Amino acid sequence: MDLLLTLVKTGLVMGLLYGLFAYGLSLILSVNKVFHVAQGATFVLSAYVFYTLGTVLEWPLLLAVVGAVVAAALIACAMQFLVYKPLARRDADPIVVMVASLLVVAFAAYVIELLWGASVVSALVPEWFGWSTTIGGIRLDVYDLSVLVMSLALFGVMHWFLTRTHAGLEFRAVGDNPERAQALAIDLDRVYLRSMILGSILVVPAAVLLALKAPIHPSMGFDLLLKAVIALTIGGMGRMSGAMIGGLLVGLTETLPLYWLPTEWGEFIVYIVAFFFVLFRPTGLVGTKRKPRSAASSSEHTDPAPPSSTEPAGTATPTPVP
Amino acid sequence: MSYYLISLLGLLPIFVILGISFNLLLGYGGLLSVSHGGFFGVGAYATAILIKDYQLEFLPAVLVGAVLTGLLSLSVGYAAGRLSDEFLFIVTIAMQVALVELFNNLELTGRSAGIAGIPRPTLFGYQLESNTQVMMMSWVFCAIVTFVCWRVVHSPYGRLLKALREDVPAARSLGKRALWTKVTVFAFSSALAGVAGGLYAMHTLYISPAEFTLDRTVEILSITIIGGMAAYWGPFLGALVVLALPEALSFANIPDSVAGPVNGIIYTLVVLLVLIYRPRGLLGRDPVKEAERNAAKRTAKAGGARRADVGADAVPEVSHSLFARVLDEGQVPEAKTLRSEGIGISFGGLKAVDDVTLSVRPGKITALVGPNGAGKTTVFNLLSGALKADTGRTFYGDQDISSLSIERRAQLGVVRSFQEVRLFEGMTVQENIHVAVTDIRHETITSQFTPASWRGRDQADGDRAEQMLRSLGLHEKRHALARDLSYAEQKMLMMGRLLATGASCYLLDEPMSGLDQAARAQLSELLRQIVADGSTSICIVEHSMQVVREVASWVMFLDRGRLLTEGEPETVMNDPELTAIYFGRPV
Repeated sequence: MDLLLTLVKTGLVMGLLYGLFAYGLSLILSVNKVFHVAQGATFVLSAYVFYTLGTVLEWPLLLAVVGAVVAAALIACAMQFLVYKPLARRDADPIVVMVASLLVVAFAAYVIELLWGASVVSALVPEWFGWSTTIGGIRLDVYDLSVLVMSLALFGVMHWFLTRTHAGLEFRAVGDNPERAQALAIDLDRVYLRSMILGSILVVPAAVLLALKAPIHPSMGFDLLLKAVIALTIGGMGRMSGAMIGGLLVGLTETLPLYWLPTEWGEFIVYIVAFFFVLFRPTGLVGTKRKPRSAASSSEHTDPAPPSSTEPAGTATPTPVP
Repeated sequence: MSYYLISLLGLLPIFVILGISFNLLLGYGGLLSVSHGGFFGVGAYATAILIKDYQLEFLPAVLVGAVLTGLLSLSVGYAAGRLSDEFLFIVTIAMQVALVELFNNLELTGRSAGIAGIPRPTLFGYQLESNTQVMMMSWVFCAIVTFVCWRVVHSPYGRLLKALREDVPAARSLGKRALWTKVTVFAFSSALAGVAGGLYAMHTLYISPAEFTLDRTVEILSITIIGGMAAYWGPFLGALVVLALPEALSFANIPDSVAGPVNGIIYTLVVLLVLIYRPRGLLGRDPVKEAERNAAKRTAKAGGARRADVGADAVPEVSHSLFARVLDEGQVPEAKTLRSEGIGISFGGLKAVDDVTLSVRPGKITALVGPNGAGKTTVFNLLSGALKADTGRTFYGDQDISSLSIERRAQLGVVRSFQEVRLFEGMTVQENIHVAVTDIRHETITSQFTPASWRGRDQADGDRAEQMLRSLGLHEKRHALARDLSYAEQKMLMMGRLLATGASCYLLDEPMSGLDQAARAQLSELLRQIVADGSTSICIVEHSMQVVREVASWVMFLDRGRLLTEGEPETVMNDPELTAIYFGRPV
């Protein structure tokens, strides 16, 4: 029983991290209309920057985190100016953009291998991070708690940002209809850059916490990226709440079967579940019957979407609806 | 040195096969699959296990491997036919990782240690003894694959694949089988990856899961992109670059731990640069120039006889011969009426179309009119099969077509156009028509290898397409890309593409919109000629009352999803009640 509860806890905590990661992806997907796979590169690079600043250079923890945030922001700018903008200028196919984004993840993994070596490295962990307590037979440590607090706080802040602030409303406007938004004197380039940066920064907490929890390695970008992508799919693409729910589900799918199965099958289960999930229910769990993107882009349903209270605006085109 | 060379030459054909097969998906089909490395692995493992544990000869082993891979990929192919790019990406990623996890965890595949000590292959009882012999075998396979794929790419099947890359709904509206084509291309391409895997196991004699990960897929992706998407010989160059790079670095005096990542950095960077600055790849050619070159080659090959032949009837009356085409094929079907009985559909509580019963009669141009939001396009979608009706039935002639898909209805002769032009923009004008002319039975992989396909069946289709282009007045522009045409020319081409299907019932959604007076007159004339034979029917959705008066011989008035009335154009349009609805009621 304790094992089961521990597995549930581990699953939920991992799920929150996947959710955070997926949230960033989802934000960029809905605003920039780019499937920003390179988020994996941002994630792993910022983890390594955090490691270098905090462990190698022995900066204080907070400064190292700030450094990681700055690094993520810089990578976001680089992606936007060096990859996405030139591609958009020549009106590249979405597939090409996705390929480029995927290549950046591989590129980052090789860069890290070159600079930091291919083997794992461990970040210096502050002493208080080792504190733990046992509630109801489950061991909770600082890591678990900080993941919980951090992700809830970020979800809250993002919700506030997207619904209450001017900049957030601009995000949603651009996500909904770029042409119309431009007509309202919203600078598209600025909004795209901002959402790219914001979406990228959202992975930093996950990077830092994972770096504190376990040794980091160059290919962890891919690993987490795949889980986040799957979380996004299970939760339903283009919906902000979906990222969180999807993340939690992926976390649980990964850990729960281990109660019955040997450890090494966890990953396999996740991917097989994801595979069939996408195959048979591509709209995600919270989705409606219409496919989110394919309906808009590749089907012949040219009719105006019927007004209906049961379908939130975010289903037809990816829109940040928290 | 010679060891390096043999090893390089032995790997090269394997990577060329991978590149070519991947190019089928990404370059020609526009399908981004990231499970190619995993499928490569399935082929390698299957071949290795069959040869090592079951002492099979190489050919049956690799065949089993290829078939197994092809079968596994059916699920992915199904996803490709049904889902959008992002989801295909996710499905294939899940497939890729799940496969590697399987290799890593199964007893059968030797877990993470992999399979070592694979014996060298036997071919027809002859045991291959050295790396050189295996290398030669790989090159033979590579040559066969190159030939087969060349044939497939430059065939109606390859053309359909490109059309599907450009616009799936448009292709389906011409009666093309989108799902089946995508499933087969996935199975075919993955089976080839399986063959490559078998050869790879024979080359290295040791395989482990680490060789078939996402990194491998990225490598294959790089091969294709460096060479050029949809550039047939691209993978040869791409594979050479990707393979020679690490070897070249190994001559430079740097430690392995640095050479590995540097190699990765260089090739990912090269691929990124190619994607951004030379999207066609190193060997990719301008499609227009290539079309012109191919055409020149074909005429040269066909010789003077055909040339004179074509020249003789090169100046027919506009659109007259479009029609002659259908006639001389003896395909004129008995006159059929497209009929709907009480069809209706609602979207989330809103009745978009409610209990509509109508007939589109042969020999007539029927116009569907009504104010915006009356449900005209939805009726079209229901008639053409793009949407499934909640209630009611649809018949074509005596056949109940209510449950048939858009492509099945198109195959029966009911085709539709869209409000947008929806050409295959990245293909030439000639190809646009050529796709439509081709019978779907000739658009499978296997039919590219039947005797008839060698006797210039496709060439005949091509000639017919050329002839149609002459009558449409687009012959000089036949090698231009469809997207480079003027709007009026695009509309003409769209009509031509529909006519080329030889359908007997045309549903045209606002065919006249955006055309000037002259173009409209030309199109009207064309429409009238189409129905002149008495067995073809046309139904148009139209906003301009002037156009309706000009062309329509029957008018149906739709408002708020209901058919209010129908009749002769003059009667319907002089009805003050309807005019009020149409132009807005004066308050």
